[in-house]
Amino acid sequence: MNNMNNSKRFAIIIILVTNAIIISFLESFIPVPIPVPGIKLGLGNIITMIAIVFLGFKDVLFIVLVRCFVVAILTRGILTLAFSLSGGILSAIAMWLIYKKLSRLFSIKGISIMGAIVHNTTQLTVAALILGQTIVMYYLPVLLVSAVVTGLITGSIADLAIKEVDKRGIFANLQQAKDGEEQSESHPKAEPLDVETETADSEAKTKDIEVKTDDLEA
Amino acid sequence: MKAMGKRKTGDIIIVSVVLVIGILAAIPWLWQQINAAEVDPGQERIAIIYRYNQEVARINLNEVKEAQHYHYEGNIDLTIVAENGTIKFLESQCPDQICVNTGVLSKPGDFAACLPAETIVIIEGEDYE
Repeated sequence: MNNMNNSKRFAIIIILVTNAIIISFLESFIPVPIPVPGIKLGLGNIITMIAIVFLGFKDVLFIVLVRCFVVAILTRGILTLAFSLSGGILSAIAMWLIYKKLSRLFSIKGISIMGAIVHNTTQLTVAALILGQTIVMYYLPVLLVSAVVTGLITGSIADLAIKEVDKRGIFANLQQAKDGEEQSESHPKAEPLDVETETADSEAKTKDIEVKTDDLEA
Repeated sequence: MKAMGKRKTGDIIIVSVVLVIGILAAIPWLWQQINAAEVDPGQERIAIIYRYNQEVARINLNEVKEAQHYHYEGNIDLTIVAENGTIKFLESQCPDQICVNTGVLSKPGDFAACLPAETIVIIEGEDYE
């Protein structure tokens, strides 16, 4: 039983990683109307948010790490890796902590906004450190306000996706396995789902998200 | 399921706090933009190029008559060109091209940066010295 849950967990992690990479990669083709470096939708954040809700901390970090590596190589080049990694990992940690400790105060949208704020502030700080010039902090107000907007957009999409995944119980066994780890009293139901249907579902979800992004653009 | 459903108090607090900070922090920038519109052409404009955290060139833009090219080689090659009163990244081998897309710099306080090449160009005026 445990073994099956574990393979299911790995399958879901891989699905989420590939989705995150594809979403982030496609996002780099969306033109940004504001000429400030660093402003982007951060659609990869949707996957991070789903992972935070349904998976463990290490899995979340793994997903973010792999996404940052692959997307950096595919788009901006390996030199800016320090950049994407610092923002991605710190925001994931921040969102994880808020989700675990302050869920009473923050909804998924709020957590996503906080993640975007942490992400943008970290990146700007790293830029200032690399360049050794504090003048880049001029971008901070623009980046803070844009974090609220983009965080709200990705948070809303993540909220919809999480509700849907939860309703269909796709990750149900997984949730119990995780809770079991934490509380050491699990009642796993035998509810075998084959991985292929999950992949199809997950792909359908990605398409949904892409359609929504297109809507936003238009 | 935690954190589901409608927006919560924390959401509203964080959004308002950030928007207020953002707007407050934007005031000096707006002020500079308004003042910059009235800058007379005779005002001193010094462009400074920093690479790898060190100053490598200091150019008085008002004294530039013919276009001057500054070519730097490294892990990323780039060319910066200074013309009469302006300076810009002409080309760079970096993948993101943010530095080139920033365009022409002409006012004190303007800057353009190329992060992969660790290069930044800043224009300073008299009051910045």
